[in-house]
Amino acid sequence: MKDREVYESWRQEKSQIDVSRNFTDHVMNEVHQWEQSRKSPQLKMERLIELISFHPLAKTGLVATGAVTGIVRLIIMIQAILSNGVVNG
Amino acid sequence: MTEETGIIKAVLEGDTESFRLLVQRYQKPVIRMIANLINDRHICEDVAQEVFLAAYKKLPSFDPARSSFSTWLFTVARNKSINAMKKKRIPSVSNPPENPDFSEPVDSLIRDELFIELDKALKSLSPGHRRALVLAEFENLPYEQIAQIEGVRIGTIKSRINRAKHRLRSVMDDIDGDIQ
Repeated sequence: MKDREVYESWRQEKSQIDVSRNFTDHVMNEVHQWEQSRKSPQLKMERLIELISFHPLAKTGLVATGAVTGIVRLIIMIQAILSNGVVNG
Repeated sequence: MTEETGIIKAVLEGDTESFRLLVQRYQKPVIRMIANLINDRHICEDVAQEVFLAAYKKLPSFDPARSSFSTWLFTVARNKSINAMKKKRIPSVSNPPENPDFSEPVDSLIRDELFIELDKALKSLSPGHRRALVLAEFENLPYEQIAQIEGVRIGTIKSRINRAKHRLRSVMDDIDGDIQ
């Protein structure tokens, strides 16, 4: 048996796949469930997190806001420590 | 407007059921790609479900000017496969080939042996080389599309496929040598 023939039959075997008959229904059920949860008010926070994670701009904005808040807090703390030091000193 | 663009537009306008058409169209190539990448037939449909759900959720971010829908979907499938492989280290167990030809028992045995070794060689490739080979050889995607999916240059894809094929060829040569 030639290598080329073997390789081709291996390639063909790898190219064959059986898909469950209800695969599409499973996917569509999940899609509908997700659509339902989108509309449900209790899950708004989850939806917000999802929206942020799927939009690069929102993600960047959130990270930038977090970073700015952290820097501001750090400045306030340093200021507080310095002013305490000045008062005590 | 192509038929596919029309379906995507309908989904984005709220016709959720139209998404079924996209799932039916792409389920086979997506599942096949995942199966050949993660080597676990039991979980490949679960991963494929995740792919389609993620595709549905991210559909508003799909830009037809940047890539075709199939390229975009294969990219989602690629990323989900990488995550699945990270989550679960899958043992390298090869499935015996189906419908062996018993009319030629010796040839059949040699072929089985070669299939097992080729499977092992495929699994031993680095993830990048394996993905390139799977997309080119089993999905018959053009190099340009594979490069887009992988986010690398066409030259890199060509080189990965050549190296992967070279590895498979050397495995076949080794077996031939053992037989002779």
